[in-house]
Amino acid sequence: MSDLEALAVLGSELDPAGANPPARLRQRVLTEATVAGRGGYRRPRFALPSMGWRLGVAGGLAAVVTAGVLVTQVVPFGGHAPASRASAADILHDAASLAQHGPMLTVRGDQFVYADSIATATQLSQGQGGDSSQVTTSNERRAWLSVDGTGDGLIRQHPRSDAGGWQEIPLPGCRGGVEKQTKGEQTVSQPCKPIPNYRGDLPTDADGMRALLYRNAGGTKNPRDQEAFTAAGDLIREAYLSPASLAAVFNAVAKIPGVTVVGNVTDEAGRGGVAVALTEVQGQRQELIFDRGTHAFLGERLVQVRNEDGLKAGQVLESTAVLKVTIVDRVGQTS
Amino acid sequence: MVTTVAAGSSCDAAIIEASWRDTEQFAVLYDRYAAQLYRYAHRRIGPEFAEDVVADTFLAAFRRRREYDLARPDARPWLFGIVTKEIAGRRRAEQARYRMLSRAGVDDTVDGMADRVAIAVTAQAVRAPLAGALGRLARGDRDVLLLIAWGDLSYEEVAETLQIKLGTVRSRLHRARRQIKEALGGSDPTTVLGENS
Repeated sequence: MSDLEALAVLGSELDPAGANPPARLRQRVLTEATVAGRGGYRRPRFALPSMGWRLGVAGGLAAVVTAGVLVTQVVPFGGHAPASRASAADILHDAASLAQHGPMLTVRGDQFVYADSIATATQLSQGQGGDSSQVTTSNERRAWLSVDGTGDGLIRQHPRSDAGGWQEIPLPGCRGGVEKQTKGEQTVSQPCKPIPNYRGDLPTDADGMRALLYRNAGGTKNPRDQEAFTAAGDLIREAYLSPASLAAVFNAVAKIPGVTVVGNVTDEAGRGGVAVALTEVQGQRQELIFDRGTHAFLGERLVQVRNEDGLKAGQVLESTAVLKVTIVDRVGQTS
Repeated sequence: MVTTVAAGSSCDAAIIEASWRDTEQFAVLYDRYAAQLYRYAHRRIGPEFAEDVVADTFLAAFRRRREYDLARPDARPWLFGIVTKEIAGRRRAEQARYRMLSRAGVDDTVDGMADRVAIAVTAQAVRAPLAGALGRLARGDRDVLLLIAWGDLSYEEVAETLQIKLGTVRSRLHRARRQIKEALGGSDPTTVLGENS
């Protein structure tokens, strides 16, 4: 099998289920084109109905599966001295100690992970002259994710710059091997496998967690340490972990070579933080943000480190502040 | 209505020119190219974004329909050029897709994969390094490689799509294929498959 044959096979695996794009896409394009053609009226990009949703920071597996932004337990916890000179390991160990004191919740399969966050992302988009331009959106975002993957979840979000309504993105659950997507007046059924949004079987010790992070790090030519750091972000993003497992994640990250303190940052919620980061070979730096004083986990950022594709070194591509994560009984509940 | 133009006979340029005045003519262009653009976008960026990418591509094409060079009868390179830029605007999502593919285990299904039986065809031993390598390619190299391998464009069409010289298409393709081959463990990836299965 040649490289091109392997690519052809992979390509066919990634094809959409049907030969034609969904009918709603045709309607969407032609409706908008006709409206634009009639009055020269041009909608802003973000007013376009979006079938998709934004990927979360450093968007990895969990981001795709859960339509993610990030989030984790934020536990206000008292008085460490400001530690701007703390090492990455110190910060992560402090974060782990705080996580240990987080809420130990009983989680049932029929419940939902509720995650509240502020998520900002910069997209390159095409301007009217064909040049690419950059657009930054900042959303308040509330997600309800089915614990066992069978319940119908929901994401509500709205741009912070706009006091208008909330956009709702349904996340249909997978029941009896079937997932039903309703878009407008159409309902499409697809075969599926429930994807749980909570795992009760995660390791509760740093070594076990480290092994888990690296277990998923094979198979690419990316440095394994980079993959392990990414895996850690994927694991905690928009997720509830038991206190012991969350602590284990931070302690495990402390063992990843190449993880360093970047310095002080202000997160999307205006909180003073310090970033612990690993630079990807692709030219971006993944950061975990911790409270500057207590070292409680606050969120994530993705920062460009090279001038490339119209992006400047130092530019923040994605940034998310975690406000709350908990377990609730029903969609819409926030506590 | 669509039927006022015989969709099978008029060249793309004629349709586009007609759409200057009669915006509904644009539907003909959509019906000709939506499926292949959607398939290409779906492969590169996955089900969550493919619809947005294709919608934005056609809306951008519609806005710029008066700038279209009517001397070019075939609009395929023009549309693939726009879809390439739309995908570039969502590069994080594309990267995430390759990363996910490079990590997914043998039994994992990946969002948007056509069917689980087919996944067995590229065993994980090939798929993971292949997807990882795609993610690491320089963007220009990846565009050339995938327009050819997944978009079924000719070298000449790729040159027109990306507005680069034919020689640049060749050199980018060569470089991209070399990196893919290296990632697959030499010239014959089936040896990788054999060792792991």
